[in-house]
Amino acid sequence: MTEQVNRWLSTRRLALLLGAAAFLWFLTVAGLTVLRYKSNLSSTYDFGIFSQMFYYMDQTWQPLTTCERDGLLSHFAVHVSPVFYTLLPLYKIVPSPATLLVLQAFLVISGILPLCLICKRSGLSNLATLVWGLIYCTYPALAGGCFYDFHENKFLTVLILWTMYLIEIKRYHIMMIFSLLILFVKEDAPVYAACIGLYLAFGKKEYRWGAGLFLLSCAYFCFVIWYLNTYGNGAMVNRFDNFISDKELGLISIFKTLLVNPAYVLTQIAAKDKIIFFLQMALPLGLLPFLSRRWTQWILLIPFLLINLMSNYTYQHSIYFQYTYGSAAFLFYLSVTNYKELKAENKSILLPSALIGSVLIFYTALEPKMIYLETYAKQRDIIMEADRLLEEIPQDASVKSTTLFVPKLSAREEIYLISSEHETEYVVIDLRSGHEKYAAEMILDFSQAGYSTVDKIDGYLIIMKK
Amino acid sequence: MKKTNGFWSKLWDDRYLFFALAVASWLMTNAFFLLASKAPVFTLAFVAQISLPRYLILWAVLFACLSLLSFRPKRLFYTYIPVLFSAFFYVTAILVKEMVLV
Repeated sequence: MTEQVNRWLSTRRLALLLGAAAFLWFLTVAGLTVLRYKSNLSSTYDFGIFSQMFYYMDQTWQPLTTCERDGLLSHFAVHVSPVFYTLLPLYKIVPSPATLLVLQAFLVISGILPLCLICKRSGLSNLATLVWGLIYCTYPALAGGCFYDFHENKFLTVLILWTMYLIEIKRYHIMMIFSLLILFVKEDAPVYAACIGLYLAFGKKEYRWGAGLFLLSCAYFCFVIWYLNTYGNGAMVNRFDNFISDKELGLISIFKTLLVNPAYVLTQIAAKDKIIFFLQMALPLGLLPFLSRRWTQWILLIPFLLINLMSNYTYQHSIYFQYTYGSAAFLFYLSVTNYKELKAENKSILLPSALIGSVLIFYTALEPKMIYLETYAKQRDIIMEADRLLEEIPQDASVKSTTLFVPKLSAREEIYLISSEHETEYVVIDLRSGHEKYAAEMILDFSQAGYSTVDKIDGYLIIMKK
Repeated sequence: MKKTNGFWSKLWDDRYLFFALAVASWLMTNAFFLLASKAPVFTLAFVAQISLPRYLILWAVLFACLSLLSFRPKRLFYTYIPVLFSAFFYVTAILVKEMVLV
């Protein structure tokens, strides 16, 4: 049976099937995430911030925002992510927040190409490559994170997989360019590049390239942390508070904790929600990333341990947020490279199990997201009416808004959250049930402060002007 | 001098044992600090009260002792024995600390 399928599955058919699966994934994820935005369900943190940042980048080439820290500042004072500029030319063609969501879906699914190239390079059959491609399409964490809107970490999967492919084909000069792009994703991205450097040195015995990449990553990391602490709002080390025993030592304190108290480290990792997260990440891959006796393979698990399992910041061990994209790329690479070394009988059990696990978890995790289609279909008229009213607010006017209307109002110089201290010309308040508990009190407060109603949709929103 | 070179080159040649001894001495160091400390084990307070220079010195001493025992002409250990022993020692130290002393 397998032989027959392999004979039928030519490389052209493989490309067509995977192309169709990837296109379906793209349509579904891009469509649903755009509908989430259209239905005014995307929040200020983080989509409102990025929407306004791209508006500023389009207008001024600077990544400025006013809604991130209640005042005009560069987003790079909070997170250093020059990689955003790679999307700017495309954003300039269609300058809309929805463009970002479509581009993001494309970026994430495009990782299937380097993954399939790694499969082919590893000598896997077309059938095995097809299954790995389908597992990529149904991997819950890849789709799940897209629903917490737009984020720079989504660049990581495709960049890391291309980097690993370039290592496999020994194109080290181009690999360094991709590694630089990884560094430019965020201030914590050097962790991924440093691990690639270590793997290159010890796993592939390319000591010069590996040491070079590792040292470059460490140097860049020190530089961005210094930059954030000197010119920005400081590096966000609070996400590792559970490992910082000495505030003065900062991040170095994490290494001391790892060194002197491994028992404590284990108690931090073996928490219930982290075990569930671990299974959501590992079962769709048939636990293959962990089935290797070569210690050098384990180097690539460091980011999964460090970024996802060690931190007590809830979002870092959830498949519905952006922190899984770098680790997921390594898990896929390890799965494929470990798979090729398995005995034939184990291969025939593990790969179908991985696909079944991936499809089942994908369905249970992502089926609830269909609500965005339902919501938009039901509320289409009222949403369009709300859009019309929001568009009537002059683009040069300053606005305060409750969180879920900020993305739609972000194409302006001044947009703040409703709790802002800044005086603004307009105020927008969400009246939908279950969203703003204190909407009535807010309206009263703003009325007393001299604002009067200019437009209102009962049970949806109210626009007030001073 | 020649003897020292021979010792270190032998150590480097047997990298798995080198690594195993590093892990074993690390676990032993932790076990010693655990038993000597008054702070509860599963807390950051335990980490905070440890002096890193003292910790590193003890680790180096234990590593040197284990290396000398392992790299005598007639080798005393197989690679995994020091690791198993020190892991057992560390777990016992945690149990003693958590169940008996607290």
